[in-house]
Amino acid sequence: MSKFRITVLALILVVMAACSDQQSNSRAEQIRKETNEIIVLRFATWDSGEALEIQEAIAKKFEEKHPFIKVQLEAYGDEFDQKLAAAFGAKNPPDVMYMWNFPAYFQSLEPLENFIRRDPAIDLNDFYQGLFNYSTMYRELYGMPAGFTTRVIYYNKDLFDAAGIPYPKDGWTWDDFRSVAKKLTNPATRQFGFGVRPEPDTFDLQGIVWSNGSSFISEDGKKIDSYMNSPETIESIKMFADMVKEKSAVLVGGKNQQSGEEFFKKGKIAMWESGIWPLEKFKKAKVNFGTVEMPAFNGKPVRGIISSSAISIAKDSKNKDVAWEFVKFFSSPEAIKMRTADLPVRISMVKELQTDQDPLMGPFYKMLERANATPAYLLTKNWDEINRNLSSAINAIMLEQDAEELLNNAVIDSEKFIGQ
Amino acid sequence: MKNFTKKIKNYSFRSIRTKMVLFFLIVALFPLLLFGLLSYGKSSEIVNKQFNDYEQFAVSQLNEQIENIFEQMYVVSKDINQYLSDPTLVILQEEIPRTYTGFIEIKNFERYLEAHKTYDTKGIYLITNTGYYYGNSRLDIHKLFKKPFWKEINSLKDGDLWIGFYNTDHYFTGKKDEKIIGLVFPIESDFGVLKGSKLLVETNAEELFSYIGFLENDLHASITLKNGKNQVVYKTKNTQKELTTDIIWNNHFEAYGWDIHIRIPKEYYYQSSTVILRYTIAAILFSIILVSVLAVVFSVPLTRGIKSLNSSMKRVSEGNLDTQIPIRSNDELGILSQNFNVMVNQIKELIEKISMTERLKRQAELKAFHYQINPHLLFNTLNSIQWKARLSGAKEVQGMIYHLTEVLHENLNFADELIPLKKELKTIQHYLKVQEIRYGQTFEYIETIHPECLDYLIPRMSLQPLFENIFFHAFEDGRGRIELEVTAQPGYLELTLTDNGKGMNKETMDKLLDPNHQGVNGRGIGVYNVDQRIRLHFGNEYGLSIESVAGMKSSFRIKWPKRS
Repeated sequence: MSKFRITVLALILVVMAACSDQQSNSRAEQIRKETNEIIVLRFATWDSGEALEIQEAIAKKFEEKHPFIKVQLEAYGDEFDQKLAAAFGAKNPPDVMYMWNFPAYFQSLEPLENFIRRDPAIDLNDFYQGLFNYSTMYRELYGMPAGFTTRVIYYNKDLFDAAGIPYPKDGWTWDDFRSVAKKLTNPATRQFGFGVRPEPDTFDLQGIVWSNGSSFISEDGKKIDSYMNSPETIESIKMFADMVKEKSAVLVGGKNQQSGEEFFKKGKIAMWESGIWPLEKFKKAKVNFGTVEMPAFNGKPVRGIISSSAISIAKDSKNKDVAWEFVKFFSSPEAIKMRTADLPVRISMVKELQTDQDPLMGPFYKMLERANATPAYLLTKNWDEINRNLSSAINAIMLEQDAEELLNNAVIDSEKFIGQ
Repeated sequence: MKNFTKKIKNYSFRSIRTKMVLFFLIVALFPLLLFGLLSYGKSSEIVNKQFNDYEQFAVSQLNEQIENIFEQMYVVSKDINQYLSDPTLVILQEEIPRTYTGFIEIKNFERYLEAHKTYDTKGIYLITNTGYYYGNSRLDIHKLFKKPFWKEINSLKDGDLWIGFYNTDHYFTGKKDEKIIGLVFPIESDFGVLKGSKLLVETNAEELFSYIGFLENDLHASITLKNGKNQVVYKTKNTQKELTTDIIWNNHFEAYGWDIHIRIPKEYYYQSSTVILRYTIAAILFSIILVSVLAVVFSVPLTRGIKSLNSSMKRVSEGNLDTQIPIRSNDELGILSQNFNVMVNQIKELIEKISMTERLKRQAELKAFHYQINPHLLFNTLNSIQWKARLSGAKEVQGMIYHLTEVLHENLNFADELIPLKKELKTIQHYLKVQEIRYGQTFEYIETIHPECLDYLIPRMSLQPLFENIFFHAFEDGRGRIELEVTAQPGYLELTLTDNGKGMNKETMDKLLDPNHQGVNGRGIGVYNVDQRIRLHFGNEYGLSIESVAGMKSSFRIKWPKRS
């Protein structure tokens, strides 16, 4: 009997080797041969709603191709960090997970170098190279790019039309932005040109700070004085507080406040700065809107920030080879095509689908070309501590307090975390 | 009814098949019932014990889970309350942060809150009197305030706490229909911001409810949870009717005032033993069917053999002697059938023989009838001829007729079939006188008779046909010698009649005794007749035999038993 089974298995393997490419003749298949039982692969994600459904579909497709693997999708949602930390702490992490905060987790993740070297079929050059920056720690790659977004300005065409203002075009400046915002504001109808987050994520602000020729931290990660509190940094942050002060912008999305997206959907703000996330919601809400590149500071090039998600393998995973199969599938053209809630990470896919030709999508890719700087959290391991001071300062600035003094304070309070 | 049972008694219980079925049933049922009931008793005892232990365990797990969640939330809230009541540790100068230090203070405090989260914690929030809150910004405080339970919260006194279930529809993000368990703890602090504030700790209750669902579905448990105010916070939907036989667990969490009440209907509690019982009964029923089928299968050929034997016997008794039973087996039934066949064959042969004898007798009677045509006329005529001859002095004719009359008299007498030998010999004397008158003194007659033989019986007219045969066929003009010898052998008599005439060849001898050659010319019929009559009277082992030497002599030999 067992002889018979081995023969059948051998036959299957021979047939597979004969009629398939290297993909199915991989290590994962060998594992199948060794164990001959169902392997459960745990996959943790922070997504919910539609994005989660897409991931379920991808997992199902993967299971079809590998009948011996069962993908167990664990949707941690808003408790992603809390649950992932608990899982790593208990030495019982998911095999595969979504990942962005590599500085915090990379020590618990499996470097992918060996898998990639063994798998010549995977073409790293097809990925937008900038994305690898976000999942590389100390020259080791810990995650395959899964999705990304850059940040653009959404604008409500109806409100522009009503005010008789032409739609903004790529290459516009913050001065243009501020004057347009002013024109689109009508306090009587509680309509504002722009929505400002009172407690913005400092990560998102970096693109704007970079565009003004500054940054929060030196490129070597050793200095924040005269970066975090440079005049250019101050200018770019103060600009939003000023807009709120002169009432061409309104504070949205604070605690117990409606989010900026709700304001934009209702036509209460004419412009909104964000990534790809709300695009589908706006479409669904039938908002007549357009997207445009971020504005530039006079005479300075616009620079972009990328919010990327990668997919990583836990160091403590017991099925790393199977996990790699899944990671590979997740960043394969087939899976990327299914992932409509994200921007494609493969250049060939963008060309094939002509995503960048879509007027709503185009600005995201233009911003991608402008994204070549490294965000602060990748430059120092103590960024969390520094960021607490920085964001406290920025929160206070948004409430119209003195920007220079606050940022100086933040630098003074944070110096102790630098260069440790 | 009585009749019916009687009928059954008479009919069914007599049939071998029924007996066999009953026998099989009893043989199969006794051990089955015994072992079935024994194993049912034992295994149900064990299984019940295990299952009940398991149920006990499952129920205690629910208690445990609920208590753990409460305990966890309580400890967290106590800890945070402790921390907040120490003014040196926490400085919340402004309720809603506006300044750099304000933001830093609150960020630090929120970090402190976050640090208390465990895997299943959904949220930890400190909610101030005015409705501002600390904790992650997922909470939509307005929706929370609209929840029915929040009204109770406002009337909570220091030291009290509220625990209850609700859905996650007060969150900005994530699923809206997740069940959570929340604990509200009024902060015991009179300092500024914290005065009248409440701590809300929320834990994911999905797992708890899935466990409750498991108890409800798998163990058919009805679960009721009551909070400290004796309000029902959870009750199983579609509960079964409460019965006094239900198995009930009650638990009271002293610290939180909660009551947990779990009820499992008896039938489900002892479900496993019911299952075993059902299977045992099914096995017994199955065995009964199997046994019946087997009994029928085994008894049918047997009873069929007996039945066919029976019907064959009936046919034989009705007269059909050609009946034969096909032999199907080598067992006792086969042998019985074989013997039956042999017996029927013998009966058939016997009957054939008897009927043949009867037929021959009848023929002889008919023949005799023929000769009986008015013998009186013949005798009267002969007597008058005799008288006429005497008157005319024809002494010879008179003597001849006298002897002839004597012979005929014997010949035509049918009164006794068997007569003493001496009487037969007397008739022969008369016959010989007739022949002597006819031929003259041409032959010699020698009689050697053992005296004791004279009184034994012999069929009438047994000898005369033989003498006639001698005169007609053996002698020429009555010349020759005749010797008659009768001897007594043990058990039978032997008569030998020898002549020294022409003798006979074999063919003639056979013809004399062959019934098919009793010709119309009358020749030989007498000899055959003699043989037949002896056989008819005494059986086939007796009879007449002929020996002859052609041209020399022939002799008839009669063997017959001693009868008197």
